[in-house]
Amino acid sequence: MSRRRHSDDSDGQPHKRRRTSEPSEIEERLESLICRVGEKSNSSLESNLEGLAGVLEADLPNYKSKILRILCTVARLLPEKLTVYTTLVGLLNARNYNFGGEFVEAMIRQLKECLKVNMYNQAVHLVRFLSDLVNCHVIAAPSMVAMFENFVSVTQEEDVPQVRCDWYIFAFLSSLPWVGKELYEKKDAEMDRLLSQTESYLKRRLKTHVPMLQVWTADKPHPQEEGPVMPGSHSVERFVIEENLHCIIKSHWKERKTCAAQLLSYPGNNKIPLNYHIVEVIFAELFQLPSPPHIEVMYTTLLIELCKLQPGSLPQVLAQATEMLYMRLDTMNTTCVDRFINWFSHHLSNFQFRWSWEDWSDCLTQDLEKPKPKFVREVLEKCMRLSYHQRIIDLVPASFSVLSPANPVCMYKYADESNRSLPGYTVALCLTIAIKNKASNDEIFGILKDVPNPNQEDDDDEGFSFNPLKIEVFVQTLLHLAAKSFSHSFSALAKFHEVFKTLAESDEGKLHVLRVVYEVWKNHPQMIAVLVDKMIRTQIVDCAAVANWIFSSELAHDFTRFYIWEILHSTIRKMNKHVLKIHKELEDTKARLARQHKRRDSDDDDDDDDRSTDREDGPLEEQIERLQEKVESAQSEQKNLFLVIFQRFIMLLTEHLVRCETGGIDVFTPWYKSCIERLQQIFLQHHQIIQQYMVTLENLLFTAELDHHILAVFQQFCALQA
Amino acid sequence: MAAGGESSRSGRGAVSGLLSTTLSGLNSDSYCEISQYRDQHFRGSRQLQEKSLKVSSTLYVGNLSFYTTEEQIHELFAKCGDVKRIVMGLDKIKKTPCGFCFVEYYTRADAENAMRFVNGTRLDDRIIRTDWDAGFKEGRQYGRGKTGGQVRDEYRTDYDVGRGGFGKIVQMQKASHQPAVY
Repeated sequence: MSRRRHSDDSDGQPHKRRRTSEPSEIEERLESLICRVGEKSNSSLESNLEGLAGVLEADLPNYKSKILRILCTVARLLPEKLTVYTTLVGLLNARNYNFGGEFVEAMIRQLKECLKVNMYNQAVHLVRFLSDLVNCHVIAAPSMVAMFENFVSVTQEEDVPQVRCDWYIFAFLSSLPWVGKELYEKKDAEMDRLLSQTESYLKRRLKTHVPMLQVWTADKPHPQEEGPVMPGSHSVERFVIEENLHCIIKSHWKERKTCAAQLLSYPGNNKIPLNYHIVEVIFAELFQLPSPPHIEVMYTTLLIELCKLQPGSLPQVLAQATEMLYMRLDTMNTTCVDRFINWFSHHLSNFQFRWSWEDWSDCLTQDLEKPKPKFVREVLEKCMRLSYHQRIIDLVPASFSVLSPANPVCMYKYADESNRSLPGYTVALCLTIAIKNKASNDEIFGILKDVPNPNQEDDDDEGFSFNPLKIEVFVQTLLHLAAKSFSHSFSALAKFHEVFKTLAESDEGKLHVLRVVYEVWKNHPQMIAVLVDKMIRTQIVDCAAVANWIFSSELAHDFTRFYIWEILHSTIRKMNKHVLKIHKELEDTKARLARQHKRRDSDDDDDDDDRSTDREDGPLEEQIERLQEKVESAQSEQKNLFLVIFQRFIMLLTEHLVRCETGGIDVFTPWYKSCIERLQQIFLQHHQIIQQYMVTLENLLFTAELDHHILAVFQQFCALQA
Repeated sequence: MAAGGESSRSGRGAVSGLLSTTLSGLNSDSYCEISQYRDQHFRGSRQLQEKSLKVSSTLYVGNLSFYTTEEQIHELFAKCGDVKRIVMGLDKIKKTPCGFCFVEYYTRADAENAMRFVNGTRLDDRIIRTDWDAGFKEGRQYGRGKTGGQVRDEYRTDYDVGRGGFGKIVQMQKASHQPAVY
């Protein structure tokens, strides 16, 4: 890479010797000086940079490689300070031409390393940095054009994944805001060629995967709202501003006060409506598919921090954004709506739930399954979870009562004497007394023995085959007695674990336990979720049972409710973590065996007795064999879970599609939109695991005979990896 | 942005050379630091306590309202990860909630997120405070104040409606100044 030469203007003066300090202290100081240049200071940025360039030049003889490393690192990790550091490098290059050359070489090495280890976002920052070095007379324009010609030529490669071309084109295009003008002035013919090649690539690249990653399903971009004039949504200025704000969040997400302060002090905050840009960028991250860059709750807390720092302006911007998002709920991806619900309810809980609900009374006239009323219902439910039922009732206008959450009370079917004709009523009474008197598991078994099995003519000897009535009576009674709090219920599950395990031994038993839990606690979805979680962790039910229960007809009424999907995804995550855990155990044990071998080999042993080595290795090898089996069994259970889920989705969606077709009704009902997006959500949220099953999925489930509506989802997912 | 995502942790080879340089300033994580508080009843050396605090996945949560329920606490803290257990702090005599609790996660990483994003925000309209805890042991769920609640509620002088009104000592003073009824 050739660079522009500056006339040597070194004045040849010897540098004063510095007071002696520990080398590591000096290195720390250098890092600190470099990292902090550009922060608020009494002097101007220009003079700080000049000063720092002088200091670094003086330290080059002794600390060159350290300085090189630090500068390369800030180029990679602090992209929001791009122009500060390119200027610094430019000043250093003017003072020490060789250093400039070494720096560029180091940057190229770093760029190649980034690409090797898949650090693509950081690689883009490096490409941009190199681009801006053209403006600082460190790199010659023709050299940069040559690099970009290399990048764009990737689009001519055959048989490469589309993402490879995508990345190189993106790296080229996203550097243009900084260097496009200069390159065009120096090499217009070459740049024209590059741009037209890029345009032709963009035209021909496949966009099959895009619907899966879109937040909005509306075709047209949303019209610019009235209000402060923001740079247009497709303008370069907007791109640059947003990139920098994203970088600030990436650097400081763990430190919310710093992050908020840095965002609000973005340069040019008097020329642009910065609050609007910040809110835009934060929501863009929050709604990003498949997942946000950072944990969702970070964004809530960051916004609260921003509201604290700008109490006179930011809350209003946030309210405006909320309103705009609400207006567009009809075309918002279901996963994004989930996040919107979580954010909004949590945010409100920090501000006494103050909101002008009447502004949203338009949703009351709609079918309750439509996105807007659904959103309000789910938000109110989440608000209740963070406070209490009466608070929410008092909060909303009376007209909103149809959307208010149910009072989360337990529904015990054997509650009073009027139910005494119900089968099992007397046993329920017995159980209640026994449990209150601290009965043991055996005593409970004794009481349950007498419960007749409505499914069978004659009972088994032990009566422990699947008996729905036994399950009903026991689970209803126990949950009712333990209804006071989560802790009470968990204690109950633990105390009577043996009874649960026995009653729920069969698959039907597990399903029925879940059904009864639902019947008792259908007003309290949060309780259902924590009970299901506990039952999986204590192996009363397994993940497949939960999946089947969620798709069962008893739950059809609640199928589109948010809590159901929280439960399903939580279940899948537990399964995934379980597989990882056992896998790690296996790897750790293998490592132990390897260390044992190594120790033995390094010992100068006369004793070559085969039997003694077997004796030593035996237990570990046995353990490895057992763990290997455990891993295989867990992976098989995991695969089965996903297959069950996909299969049930296919059945449900096919049913709907057939019904619509024969009835001549439009397929695209609110339920259908929700369901198909939930299917997409499964693919996206667990894509790494699912990728292992592509062959099975293609051959077994997502075959060509499938309705094209459903198959499209699978094809979008396949396209994501193309 | 290109459809191919970034995974900065996975990679085909060990990260080496230039890429392994980090900036100490960027690794700041001040919300996760250990505080000055040490449990006086801790069984073991200061060293052991500090070591436990540094690996713990249990948090002490303070400044709760007496009326805040386990359910509310669970809802909030579950935003940072799966909650393993919540132990409500109880008045030693009355055995009723007295404004603190312990939240235990399955992993420390989840607890760290709670320190970063839940600490200092509101629950039941009150700013709550989280701090690292060496781990729940039976008996630690009880207030250590003389009258059964937390020590801080013995001595405080403000009127806090969510924490039983005035501090206990102030309450007793007020009671002893009651005019006699004839």
